[in-house]
Amino acid sequence: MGKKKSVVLMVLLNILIIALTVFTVSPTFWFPWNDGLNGWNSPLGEFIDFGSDFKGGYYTYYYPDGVYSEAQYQSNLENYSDEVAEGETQSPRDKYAEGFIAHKGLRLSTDSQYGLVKNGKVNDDFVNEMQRLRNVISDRYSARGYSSFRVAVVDDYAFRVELPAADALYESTFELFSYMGAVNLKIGDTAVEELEEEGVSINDYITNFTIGAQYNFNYIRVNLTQAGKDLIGEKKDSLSTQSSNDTSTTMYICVGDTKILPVYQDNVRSDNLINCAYLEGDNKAQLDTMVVLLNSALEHGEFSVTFSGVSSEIREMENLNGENLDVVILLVLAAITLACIVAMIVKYRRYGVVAAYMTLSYLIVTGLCFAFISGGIFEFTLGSALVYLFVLVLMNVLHAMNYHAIKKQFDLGKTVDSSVMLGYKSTIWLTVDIYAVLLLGALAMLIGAAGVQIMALQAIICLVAGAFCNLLWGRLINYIYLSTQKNKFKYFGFVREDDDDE
Amino acid sequence: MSKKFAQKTVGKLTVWAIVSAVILLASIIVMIFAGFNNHILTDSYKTVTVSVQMSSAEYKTEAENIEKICNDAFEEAGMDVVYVSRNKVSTNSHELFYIFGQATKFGTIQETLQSKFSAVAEYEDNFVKVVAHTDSVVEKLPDGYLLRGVLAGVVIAVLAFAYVALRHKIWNGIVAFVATGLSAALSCAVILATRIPITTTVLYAVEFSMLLTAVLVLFTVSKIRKAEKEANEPIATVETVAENVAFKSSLALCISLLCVFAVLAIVGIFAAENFLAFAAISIVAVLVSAFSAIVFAPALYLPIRKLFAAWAEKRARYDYKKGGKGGKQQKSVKQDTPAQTPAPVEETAETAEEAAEETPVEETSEAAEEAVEEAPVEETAEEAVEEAPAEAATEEETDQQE
Repeated sequence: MGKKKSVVLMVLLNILIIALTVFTVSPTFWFPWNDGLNGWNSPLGEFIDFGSDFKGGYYTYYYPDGVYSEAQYQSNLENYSDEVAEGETQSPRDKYAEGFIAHKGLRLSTDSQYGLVKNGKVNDDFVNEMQRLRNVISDRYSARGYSSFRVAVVDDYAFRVELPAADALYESTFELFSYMGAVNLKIGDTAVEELEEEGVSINDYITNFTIGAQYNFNYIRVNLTQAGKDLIGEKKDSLSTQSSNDTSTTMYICVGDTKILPVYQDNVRSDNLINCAYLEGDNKAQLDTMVVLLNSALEHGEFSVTFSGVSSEIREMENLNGENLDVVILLVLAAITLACIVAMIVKYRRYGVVAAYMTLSYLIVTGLCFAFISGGIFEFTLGSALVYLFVLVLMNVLHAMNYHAIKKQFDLGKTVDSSVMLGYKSTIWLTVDIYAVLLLGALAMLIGAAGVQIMALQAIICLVAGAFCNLLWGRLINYIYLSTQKNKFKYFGFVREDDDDE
Repeated sequence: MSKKFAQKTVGKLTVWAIVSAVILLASIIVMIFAGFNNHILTDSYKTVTVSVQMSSAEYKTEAENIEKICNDAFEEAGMDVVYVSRNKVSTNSHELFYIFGQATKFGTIQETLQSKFSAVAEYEDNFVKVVAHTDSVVEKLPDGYLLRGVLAGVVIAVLAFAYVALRHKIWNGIVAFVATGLSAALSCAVILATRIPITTTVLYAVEFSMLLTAVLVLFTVSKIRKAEKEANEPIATVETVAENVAFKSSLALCISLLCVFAVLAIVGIFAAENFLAFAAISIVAVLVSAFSAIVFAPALYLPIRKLFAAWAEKRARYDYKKGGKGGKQQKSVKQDTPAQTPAPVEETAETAEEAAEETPVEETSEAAEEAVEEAPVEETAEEAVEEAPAEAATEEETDQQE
């Protein structure tokens, strides 16, 4: 390639890479002349969903009806007067206090409607029910597929659930997973007659719930048995359409007494299967939660214990490992990336500059992919940082190996151009093998769940970017950059005693 | 130096196998007697919750004092706070959430702390309530997390075997398979044995160690294959294998990664405890991968290569052209005595020569020895041919005499 052409290309390349790097790594800032109304959102800072490794999360308590935390009990108690009224033997406060027994940090109501206490002791039926609830609640959160979460029993008769900050729908999730009861069908507020018959179970009509996709929409598919299809076939003409939205003739899929999904006439297909709750692709997470809830309710059926007031117990929790860890990890990754660039330039001089271009290109591709390929898949965890760093280091080590292969050829007496060609040729298949094995490994990791699966997806991005940089981009940049050089020996730092050739 | 090190490690498969077995056994013993060292945040713990009803502005000024009262009370009671989380419930409701180890004894801390707050006049009108809870973890892992993680690991090893076997012959594939599997097992073992707190991130490091081992094994395997092609003979002695272990490139990658994780560990010391734990796990993964790929894999390669070389040599003895000259006859020659069929013996000798010429390039030097061994066979066959007429003549003389 001619020198002038190479110089022009290098200048364009510099502009492109610098511009994209600034775009990728710049922090969020506001324009001072616009009074902070407009500004720049950093792709890495604003669009990456940081997992619980870097950001805190949310937690809530599930108190069964009739169970209160000691703090809530004391608060309620203080609302009652402690003065004994005329003709009364007890103050309202004492009467209220009598209605509870203490158990560790909880207060259990002795009111028979809750069935918690029998003869001054905790009811065995309630204890057994709590054991069932424990399994159901943990299964629901487990099935939801969070990279990190925690379900714990608090003082034997309450639950505490933690979710990562990356879950933007945490309120909805906490609320939905607190619904206990069997799946049932209602038209308006009236239960469907066929399901009220003795010996009939909802499982005779509904097999399970799954997620379907059509164009840019996701929906919940209600998989019916033949009996279910016949039932829907009988009812569908009397159902409300979505446009008329008459609640008295809308069918609802309920969990216990709570209406979860409306079913309109439009949702019933020609084969009497139901596709309902259409939501745009970005909102798939909500449908996932609903499906987990409905399948869980279908499997476990009725409970005598219910939860209420879950939303009022939600707390935002800071990261217990440290503050601003999302910023810290980005700074650490930036520092290590910069260290790689500096190390390669110091060690390999102008050939190391090619490594710098490769590293920046890798940073741009992976950074923008992590930022903009979202949809709830790409939570940034410690595994993400691990794969980014691994491929970054590997890419630079392979680039260094190329240098040594070129030097080996040069030491045999070949010209610089021949050495470059033969050196690259001698390392190309090793590079291909390494990236091929790693890609296969990353594909195998997709079998893993939650955080491992996320790490696999991110590893694929990093590996494709790394392979592109090592096999194509780096070699192209080297070719262009080398073409601009007057002294090719100096470019590589080679020394030859007898250089009659150049 | 790298060659000297490799010469000391290659050819000692038994030693490294014993070392690996000892590490695995040690981790099993530690696990049996001490159990898993779950990180406290993924385990059961005890909590003290201090709920404060106060406007945000007021809370901002009082937070320090409230925390001081709590810390003093915990110190008096001999309770070690592991974590404290400052949570916001609503605009006028705040919470301090203290986490203690499972073994912590609460005693009367709830009443003591409550009375301390009640004694402070400024908090009289504010609802400051203290509650102590026991938090028993029920679930912290997604569905099938461990099982699917193990399955993914198995598939990684199998795919590594398949690719390396296809590209670099089956014996190298076996080495890659065993090395990646060993690195996964040893990573888990070392993490368990050293009691590094376990979180879900351990699985990330284990999978990473398998991938790194596959890369490091490829460095060596590729170098050995190249050397084999240049030498036109198998690399199957301690010397030759030691010469071709990709020590420098493997070390370069491992040392670079160790430096990176050391940076993460240093940041973790000052800023984030989970960074420190994760860096420790990752460093373990790198060290284990280095052992599996630089020490164990070449040691394993040697006997496996020798085995395959021996099998190839054995096959080469019977390697003849199907239906060709002397082909079937060679088998029959081996069954018959040399005296009865002199002509086929000569052809057998020729066929043996042809077979020696036709054997693949990878034929070992032992095959050359075999050719030397066959030479006496040729001579023997020729001698037999010479002896046969002599014997026939002797028989004729005997008959004539009779």
